Amino acid sequence: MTSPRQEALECAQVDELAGAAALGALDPDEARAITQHVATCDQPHAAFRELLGSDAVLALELDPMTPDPALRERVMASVAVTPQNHAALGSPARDSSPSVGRSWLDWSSVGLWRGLAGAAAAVVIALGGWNIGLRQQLAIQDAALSAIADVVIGGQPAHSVTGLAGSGYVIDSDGPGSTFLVAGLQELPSGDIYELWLLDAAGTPLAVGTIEVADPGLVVVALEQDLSGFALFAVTVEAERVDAPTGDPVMVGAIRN
Amino acid sequence: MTNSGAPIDDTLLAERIRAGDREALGELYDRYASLALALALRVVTDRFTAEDVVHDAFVAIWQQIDRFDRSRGSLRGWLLTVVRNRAIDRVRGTRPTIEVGTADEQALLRTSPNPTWELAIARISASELRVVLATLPAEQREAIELAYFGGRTYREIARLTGVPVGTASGRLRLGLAKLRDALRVPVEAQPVAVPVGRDAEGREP
Repeated sequence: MTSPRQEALECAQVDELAGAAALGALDPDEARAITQHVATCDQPHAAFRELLGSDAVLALELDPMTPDPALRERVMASVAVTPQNHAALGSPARDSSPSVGRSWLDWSSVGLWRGLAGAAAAVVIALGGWNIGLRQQLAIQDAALSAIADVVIGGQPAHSVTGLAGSGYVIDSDGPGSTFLVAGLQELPSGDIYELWLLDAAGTPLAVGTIEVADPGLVVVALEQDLSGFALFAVTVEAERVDAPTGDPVMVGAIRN
Repeated sequence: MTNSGAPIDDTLLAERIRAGDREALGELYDRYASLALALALRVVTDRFTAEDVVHDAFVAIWQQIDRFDRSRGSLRGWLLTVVRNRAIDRVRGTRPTIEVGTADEQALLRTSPNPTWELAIARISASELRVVLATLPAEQREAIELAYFGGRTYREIARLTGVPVGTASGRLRLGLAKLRDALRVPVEAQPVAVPVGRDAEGREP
């Protein structure tokens, strides 16, 4: 049980850190402890609360900068193939919202599919040694993923890929092809696979590989296609390898060429 | 330039985005992308990376709009929090470890929109804010900039500036308190909500 003196001290400490809390300048553990304290404390902490929200004001100090018009196109293209997280993953390709599903169905109806010559042979390398520790430590996993991406790409930009199924990077290789690094892949119903796609600016998808065994650790997939000329990378869940996606993407990332 | 009316419009935009309206996300982008880019660029200092940060932030807002709660702050504030966190992650060489969920967790501290900051956002310009910030003691302003634009914790600020951690946290607190006082609108200048059937002094007709 906390004594009144201890409780008062804790309250004083919380108030002392009000500025740091308002600016997100706390260590994560400290932020959680203060959040919990403020939420449960019977003291009003009015001085503390009065500083919250100040971060939004500080950004106004900056003069707005006009983005490249292509950035808006990239954002809207990504949004068009990104489902909103209204529900858990489940069977993502089949359960997503109709509004998002339309954009993927539109791909196949347009009939602009590239040929599948040289269909990608995905090489999945589960780095088992990493798995045990990474499964329970997502932050460490993410840092490792980034570090590995840095090594693999040798200073080239890594394109972030995120979604309901996991998170990772797609990166250009020095030689032919490219690489997809993904961590924390969600398990799929038996028999289902992840299929990987590259899309050009018109939204035309090209199948570039599959992942047949979901691994909660780190998966590295070699793609038989350069990223040059493509605008998006996406992942769907399919019952088998297909020429056109049958559902919504469960991961997506924009590619800056 | 001020931002009058934006919070109300933002709430409507959030509802449209929640309903899956991509045009609404486009309107949100048109409204705040230039500010988001300025913030990202201030943190990462590289335009290529800054635009990637802005892209990822808007896509995250689209994906996670269910997490937005108007009672905890404005949509603009939430967006800028996401932009800033992602930009800081880029600077630190990590992938975005502070996702929308964590940013939202930080926003849990905001149990209600603070009227001082909300009103300031609505009525002052960038140049006016810079004038106010210039009145802060240099060490307090430095601490605030290291925290907000540099993504430094108060402990890191203490090390960087060679002061005890208590001094660093105190500079942040005192600096923001002075900023709040400088931005606070006098009570008589604030719009008064008049209950229906009563005049401005609260009297019934």
